[in-house]
Amino acid sequence: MESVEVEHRVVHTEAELVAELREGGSFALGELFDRHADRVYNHCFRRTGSWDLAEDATSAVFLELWRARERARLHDDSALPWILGIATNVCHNLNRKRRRHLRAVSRIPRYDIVPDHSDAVAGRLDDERRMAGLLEALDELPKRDRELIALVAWSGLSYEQAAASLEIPVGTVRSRLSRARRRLAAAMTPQIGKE
Amino acid sequence: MNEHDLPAERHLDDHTRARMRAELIAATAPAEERRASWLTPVAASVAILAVVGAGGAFMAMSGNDDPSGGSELSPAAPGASDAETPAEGSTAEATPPESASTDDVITPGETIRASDAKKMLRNRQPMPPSTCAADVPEFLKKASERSAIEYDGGRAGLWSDGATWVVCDTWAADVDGGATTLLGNTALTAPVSKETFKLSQNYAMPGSGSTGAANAQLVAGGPKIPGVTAISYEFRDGHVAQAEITDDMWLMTYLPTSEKFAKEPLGTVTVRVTRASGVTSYTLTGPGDTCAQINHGC
Repeated sequence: MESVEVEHRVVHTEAELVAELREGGSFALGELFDRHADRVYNHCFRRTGSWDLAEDATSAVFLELWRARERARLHDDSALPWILGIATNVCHNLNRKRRRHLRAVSRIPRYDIVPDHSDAVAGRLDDERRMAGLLEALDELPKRDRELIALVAWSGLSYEQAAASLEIPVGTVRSRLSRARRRLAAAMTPQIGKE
Repeated sequence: MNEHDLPAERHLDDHTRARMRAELIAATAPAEERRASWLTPVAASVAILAVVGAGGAFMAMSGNDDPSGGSELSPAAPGASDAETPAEGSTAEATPPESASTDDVITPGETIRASDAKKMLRNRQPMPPSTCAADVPEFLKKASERSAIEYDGGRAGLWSDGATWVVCDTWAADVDGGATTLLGNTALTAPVSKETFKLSQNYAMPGSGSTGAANAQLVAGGPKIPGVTAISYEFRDGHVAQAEITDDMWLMTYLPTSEKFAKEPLGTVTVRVTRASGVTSYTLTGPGDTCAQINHGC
């Protein structure tokens, strides 16, 4: 027997969602959450070095989206650059509180992870240890350079999207990113001996 | 080590994602639109408190023990100054003022402070419960209730327009106000498959009236499946929930008693469908299988 399923759901474009968001439609916020929560979650992890913190930060980012909805904008029909721009700022503020903790975590050798933890917990701890090492090196860069590394190298935005996200010219992204990568590579060199 | 030596990406688990989404919608929906939400506005306040509380945790971690911080949770929007913002932490006030505002909708430009969150928590009123008669027509305009099963904590009805069915469950609306839970929107002629047995997870706030100690509910159902004599769901905590089967429909509900179980990802659920010819098993895992509700978040 042939199955006939009736599909009533409508797929909205991001332009429609952003327009709806500006009008105060929380439905649009939910849709944007469905589409981008994981991207925000991972971006926040890379900026904070903590999965738990990234989870809290993700909620904060979408609440901030709502608060800033009248300034919502698109880049090439995508709201992601705007959303990650907000995430960058949310996580920047959180990061400042985390630095001391990150430095401590980065010094925890791999064998200090208690072996009887569940695989999931051990995996998250190992992620955080590795990320702490990266963030320790990243911390040696200026704020804008850190943001560009996180947005482009780590979260996969194009130069144009990163420029839209940070509201700076694309040329500035190119020049800053090139310099940031050199600085980051130099900052990481001393850490190779730690591994 | 180099800049590409990143830990692998992870996804928010379906439980966390559903909770976060529901809290977000509850925190932002204007009062007249909240019927579409299934968590009370109180949940939203708790979510905000949790985020603010995280700020407090960072303070403790960094050795900043100044309790008078009360700084803003919300950061500058993109494009703001490069200057470092002064906020070093946020903390919830121990004793919020008595004259708390009842304005519980976050508006553009509004900052969210710990004290505001507590005010919201204290002043939020539960939404009135919606009804199946109000919610089902959003999906099936000409449907009527064909059958129903009542259980301890709620009631589920099978609605159909003659071609398509929806199961409408009232548990979430009854305990928390807001929307009912709708499942299905599936053709009556659809073949039986794993899709048939997908379940919905619902969460209520503590003290909101849930009969389950964990304030959570798992529900699945649909029209009666010819030849099927039993349907059971085995959960990670070892509980086996037997579906009730009537002449017209079947319904599985589980109100967990373990708060720990309810708060952690659902994990794998094994469904066993018994016919005279034998037992067919289906494994439900991941959001595609365990977030079957069609009218609220997953």
